[in-house]
Amino acid sequence: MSDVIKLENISKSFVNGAGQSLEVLKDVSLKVQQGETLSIMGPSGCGKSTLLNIIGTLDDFDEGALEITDQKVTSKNVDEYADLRLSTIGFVFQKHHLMPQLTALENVLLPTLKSKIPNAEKRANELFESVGLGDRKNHHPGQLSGGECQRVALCRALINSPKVLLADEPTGALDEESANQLTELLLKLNKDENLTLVTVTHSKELANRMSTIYELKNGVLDKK
Amino acid sequence: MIKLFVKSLLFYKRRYLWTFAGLVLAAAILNGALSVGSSVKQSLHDMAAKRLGGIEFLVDARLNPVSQRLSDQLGEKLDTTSVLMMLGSANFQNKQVNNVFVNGIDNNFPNFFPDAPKGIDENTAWLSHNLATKLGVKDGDGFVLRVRNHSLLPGDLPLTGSSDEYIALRLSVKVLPESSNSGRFSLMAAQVPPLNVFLNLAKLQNDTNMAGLVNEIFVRNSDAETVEKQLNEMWLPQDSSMTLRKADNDTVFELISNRVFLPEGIVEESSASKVLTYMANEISFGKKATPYSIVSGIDFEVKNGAIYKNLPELSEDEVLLNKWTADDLGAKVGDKISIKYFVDNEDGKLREDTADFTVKGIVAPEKLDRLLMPSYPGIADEEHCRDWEPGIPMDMQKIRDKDEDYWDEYKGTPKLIINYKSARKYWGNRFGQTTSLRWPSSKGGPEVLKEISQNGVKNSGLSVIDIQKEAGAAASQGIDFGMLFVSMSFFIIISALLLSGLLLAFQLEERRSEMGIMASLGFTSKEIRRRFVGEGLLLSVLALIPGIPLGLIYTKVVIDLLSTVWYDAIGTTEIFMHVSPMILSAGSLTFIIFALVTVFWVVKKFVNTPISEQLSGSKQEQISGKANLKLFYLGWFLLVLSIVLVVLGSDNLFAAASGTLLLSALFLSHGFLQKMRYGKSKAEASLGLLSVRNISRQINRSLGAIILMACGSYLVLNTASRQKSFNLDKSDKTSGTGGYEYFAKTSVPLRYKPDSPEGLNEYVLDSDELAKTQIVSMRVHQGDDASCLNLNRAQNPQVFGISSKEFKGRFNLKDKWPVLDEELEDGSIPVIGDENTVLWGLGLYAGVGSKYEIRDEQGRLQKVTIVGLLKNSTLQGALIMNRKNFDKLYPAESGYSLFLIDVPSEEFDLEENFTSSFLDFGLEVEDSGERLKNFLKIEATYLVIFQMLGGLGLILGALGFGFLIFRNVQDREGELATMQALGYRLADIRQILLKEHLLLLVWSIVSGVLCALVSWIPLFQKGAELPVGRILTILALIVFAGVISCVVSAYSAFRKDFLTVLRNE
Repeated sequence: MSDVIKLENISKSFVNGAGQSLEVLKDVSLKVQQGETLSIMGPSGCGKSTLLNIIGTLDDFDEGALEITDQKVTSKNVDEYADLRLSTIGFVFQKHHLMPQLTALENVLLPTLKSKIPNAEKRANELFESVGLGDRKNHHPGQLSGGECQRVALCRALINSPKVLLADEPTGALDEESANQLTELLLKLNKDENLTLVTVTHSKELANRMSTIYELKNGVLDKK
Repeated sequence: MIKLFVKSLLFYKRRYLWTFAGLVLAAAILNGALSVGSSVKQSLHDMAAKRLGGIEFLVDARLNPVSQRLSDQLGEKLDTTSVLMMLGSANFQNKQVNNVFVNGIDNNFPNFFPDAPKGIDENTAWLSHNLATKLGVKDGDGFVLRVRNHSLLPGDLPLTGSSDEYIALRLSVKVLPESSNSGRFSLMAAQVPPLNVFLNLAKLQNDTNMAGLVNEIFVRNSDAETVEKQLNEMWLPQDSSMTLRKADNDTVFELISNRVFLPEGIVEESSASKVLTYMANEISFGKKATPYSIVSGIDFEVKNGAIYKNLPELSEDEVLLNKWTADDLGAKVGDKISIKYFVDNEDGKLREDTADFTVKGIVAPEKLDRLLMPSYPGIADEEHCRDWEPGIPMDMQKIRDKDEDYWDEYKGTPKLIINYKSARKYWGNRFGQTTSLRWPSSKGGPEVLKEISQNGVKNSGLSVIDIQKEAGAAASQGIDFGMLFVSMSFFIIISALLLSGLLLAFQLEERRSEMGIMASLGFTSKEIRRRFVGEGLLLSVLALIPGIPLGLIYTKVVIDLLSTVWYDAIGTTEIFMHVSPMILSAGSLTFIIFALVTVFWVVKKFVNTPISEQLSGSKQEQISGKANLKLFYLGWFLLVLSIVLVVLGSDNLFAAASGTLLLSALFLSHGFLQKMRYGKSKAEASLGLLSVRNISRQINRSLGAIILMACGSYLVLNTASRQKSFNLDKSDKTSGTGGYEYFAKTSVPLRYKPDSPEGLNEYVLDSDELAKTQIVSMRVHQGDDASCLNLNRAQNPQVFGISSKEFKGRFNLKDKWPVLDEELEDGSIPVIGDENTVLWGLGLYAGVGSKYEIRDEQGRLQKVTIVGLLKNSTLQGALIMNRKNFDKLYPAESGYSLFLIDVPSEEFDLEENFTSSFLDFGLEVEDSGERLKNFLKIEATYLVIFQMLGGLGLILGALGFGFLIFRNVQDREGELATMQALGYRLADIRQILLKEHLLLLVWSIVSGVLCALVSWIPLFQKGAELPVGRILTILALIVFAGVISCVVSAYSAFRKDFLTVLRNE
């Protein structure tokens, strides 16, 4: 199986309020195969989300090398990897980040304005059905519960059939039942579509359901 | 994407409402301000159309009247009317109105002005409505009209006869309706309607010694080429008061002029023999003398006529005596004789000169031609020498019986002949150098006429003027009121644009996370920008829909203000609103571009941040690092510098101190905010300290508000200090009044200077009393007023002729007046003008050194060079040259009609000793200080407009403070929720926020006001009037608007419970 995500000696620093440089990631290396499920855990503020953002080309890094589906990510210009984000990577954030002015269906179809995939609405409807929101697609985010919004966000992330799904605390804002439902959903997708799943989470329940668990501590990533 | 635009706009409609309102306001103000300017410009064009009626071209003969025959001839081929125009004054009971335009019109005039009176009878005068109102007359009233008693000859031409200077006509009034276009008739470009009187043409011609003459011919329904062609074909010498006759025993055709001297242009281009005949005061040889003799200079290069058979060649120092003269003097060939004669001095006085000649030969008077003498008025037609009234001082006691006998027998036969070149040298003057031209009879009359007529029109001083084109140029090139008004509206436009930009930016900040989402979903920065710019475009286009009509309402309001409260800025109530699609398009396009640029810039700023940051929403500014105090220290330095400048205490330094102090205040504010932001914690914390720290957390936002309000307040107050309070001491010779207490003008020029011996005698003035004054008399060539009172660009400005010696030490030029007497290398004429006239009236922005062209009396263009500028003087509106150049350009402009009067003695009664003697000449005396105030009134009104509009702009800015509260509440929801959780009530939190923003508002306004007050110090010192009431009102309104806006926003923003935020987390 090929490596769909490859990180080699990634380092990233931030400057703190006192003007000091803080190294958040130190020589982080990681390889993720297609279809693998992976969770990254660690204490609050350790840089988990930063690492996920780097993998998703939402943030840049200071040193090292990154490849997503064999494409090298070298430039700090985020526009260069827009296509990668469009078609290869899907995101689910802790806050769903749905556009409040669009319906659930319109939110899910938003990426297809760019990708122009055929039968986009059909695909969206299928996704709605698969997450159990078939009858809620014409509601606005303000009319949905937190869990429902998160599921809509998941559909949006999957509309273009990405190879990789990156989820940053996907169940962080959900109650237990909703969290479990979402977890099952993610695993089902992994199984059915060979979707590579990388999650950042505090939740041991979610982490334990992943095939591999990493811990990020003091900028160093270790496999558990 | 369009669906996304629309859905976004509809979803955020409540928030977008404010942004939309801001955009509508900005669109309204921008379009409104531009429309004011275009309305003024179009109104000026309309006025030009009204004042010219159907006139397209004019044959200008103002200084060289032509025969009505020419006009009638032209009328057979073209659509013409002829007019005799002059200035006069009108009297009714005890009221006198001066500078009245008197127009003698014929029956064709109504073809050009359909509402003009037709068939005016001889005893009636039609008055324009404004004149009738000013004079207080109604239909049927009798009044007196005084006009100049004209002569073909200039009044100060030596040898012209003396005559009454003015004529009084008693006429019955008819008043034109107020709406009458003909009442507005004027050839001069000005927005102020003239005071017109229309008379029967023949009546005016006969009563003013202008029988059969007109000085303007109007043409319509034609083109310039045709008019010129017809004029050239139809013109005959008699039309310009010249006569072609046979002379010298019919051996020559001779051209002479009723004006004594022939036009130089005709002389230069002719192939004829030239003659200059003059009157000598005395011809003497030893102790013997022959008084008051006609003498001639004839041409020895071109010899036409029988006379030359009897004459030897004469060189320039030789003379041929008439035998009668030789016998009278006892002179023979080889003797030296002297000729005494008067010449015209530069200052208008006569000077007697002498020239010596050697007798070359003696010839019998019969062999000379008595027709060599031109028809000198007061001489030629008199039976006896003792009846002569030649206009030069003559001692009649010197005329002997033998002189009378000579006159009986030989009339004007010259008593001696010299070479024409010598005659020209000694007797040539500004009025001309030649009294006749002679062609051989063999050439044939038609051939001679053809030669004269070839450029006769041009050489006689007639010109065809495309008056519509000139009027269009005057209106278009005039003060660009459009740009002027936009510049006066600068602050309100900037405020409106900034406010709308601020609101747009706030809106976009709120939607940063949307940008992050789109980026995370694979949209490029360009695509994201395009989406939001598209929304911005849609919004701004929609804003134009109510914005343009609102803008036109603003235009209407401003135009009404310009016609009433701000009347002094434009001096007319005839400015009306004109809607120009082009102007509205330009305004709308500018507005849209501004909105799009703002959106583009803000979005670009956001999309260039990491996507992860965009997703988190608005950037929480983290306080890190240290305070940057460089500007703080610079601020202190500038404060010290401004104190030094104030202590040094000159007017210019106060202005510099004021500006420096403002900069200092802004830098110190920045520094203070920096110190607060990075300052250490204080044990004795307070809510006040909390407010100050809160202001410093968003330094850029707070500083932006301070700069806007401080600079705005400063500008509004500072303009008050710019009002030019002219030196209140009118007697200061270097001031704008030149130290002259009074500025006086007459409608009918005075032949003599009032304070000259001739003047004292002629006008019956008390010489002892007048000796207590200094009077400067100036010649005036009428033209367009090039002062700031005229919104039109002067095409043919007035010209004043002065003696530079009389102005020594006066006005700001002090001893630099002799520059007018210099000969310039390029041959142009040096002129001086008031700075306002040169820069704004004539558009010569380069000032000193600028070149310009004016028309002389012959209609020829003459180059002038600006060699000096007067500062804010009473002499605005004209170009000033020395008498010598003035007389060269306008020899026919005789007399003096402008006077500056210095009255050093308080005992001098101007009314009794001066004014009353010249009422019949239409004398108007103006206090110089008041005159200057009127000029300054315009600038002062512009400053008031700037203050009022600036104040409005600041009110808008103050309203913007309300939006700052909304923004800050949004940014700090979490904090405010925490405060509530800690036990603060909503009312407490509202108070804290209100205090923060009011502190900022007051801080910024007070800074601006205090700094501007420094520029007021010189005005306080001089006791000048300051618009304290108006300024206080504006400031009060600004503070009021700011307070209301903050209070309303504070209550609106605090409607919800902040604890919800904590619960949601």
